[in-house]
Amino acid sequence: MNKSPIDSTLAEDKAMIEQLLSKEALIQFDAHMNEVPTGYFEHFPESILLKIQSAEKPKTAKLFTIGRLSMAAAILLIIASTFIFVQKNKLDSPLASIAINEIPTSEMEAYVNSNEWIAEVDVQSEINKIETNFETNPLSKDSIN
Amino acid sequence: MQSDQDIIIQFQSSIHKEQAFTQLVKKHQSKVYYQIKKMVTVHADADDISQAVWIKIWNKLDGFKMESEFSTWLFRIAYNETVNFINKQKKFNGHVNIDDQNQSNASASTTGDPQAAKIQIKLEHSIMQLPEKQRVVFMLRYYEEFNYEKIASITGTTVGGAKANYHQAVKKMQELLKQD
Repeated sequence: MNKSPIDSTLAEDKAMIEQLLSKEALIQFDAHMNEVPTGYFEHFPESILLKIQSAEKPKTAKLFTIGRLSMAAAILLIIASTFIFVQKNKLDSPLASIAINEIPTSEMEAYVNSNEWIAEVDVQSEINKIETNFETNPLSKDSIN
Repeated sequence: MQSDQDIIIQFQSSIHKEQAFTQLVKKHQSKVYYQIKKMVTVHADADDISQAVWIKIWNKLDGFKMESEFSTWLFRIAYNETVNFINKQKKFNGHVNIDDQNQSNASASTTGDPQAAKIQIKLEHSIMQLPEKQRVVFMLRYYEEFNYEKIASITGTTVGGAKANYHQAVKKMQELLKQD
């Protein structure tokens, strides 16, 4: 059976080193490097999975904590804005209506009447002023006509 | 046994990712570990790097498009993690004390024959003296018997570059063995 070019090269490469060192020494080195504590490979997959799981747990916990914190912040924000909104509404309408309701009707009437009286006085004084102007300044009459 | 592709499809589409992932780990863990250990020689380091490799695989497997072989991708991640580890160690320690590492390893492995122990120490010493890329190319070519295309993909070089690395590794080992 013919050897492939790769095989022949491999054989040549191996022969190169085996000329320097005995094949036994090279095999011995390999055997020595292949020594492992008893049961090492039996337990290795388990131990590596445990390590992976323990490495992933803090990540999940961290994400969970961040999630919880953002959730708490959102809830706090909602509560705070609701409180502010309610407070503002309380100030705007009900308090104002209470203030008006609390004023006695008699006082309100007196206030309105006094304003009317002031208004009448003002109107009357204006009329008087105009009449005086007509009397003192006859040109104004021409100009009107 | 299921193919890598089938297991990866199962991983990517399933909520029971652990099962598919465990299958992949069981299938490839020893090769990954041995590749790493041949680079760092110490079990504890090889174990740490292996774990880092598989955690990376877990995190990235959903995005794996199967444009290359899974094993090539896996070995490339293992190679990069190992080189990063070695570089970090160099920065932290200034240099890696190869002699201490080798002597302890070799003395632990050899049984009885002092001549064999000497050769073993020489071999480990010369392998550990190689630059990381030459070392991994040597390991993958000699021990894993990978073709140069695959080695080039794993180490991020060209086929020619990988071949050159193997030949340089052999040459350097020859020089190191002469020195001893």
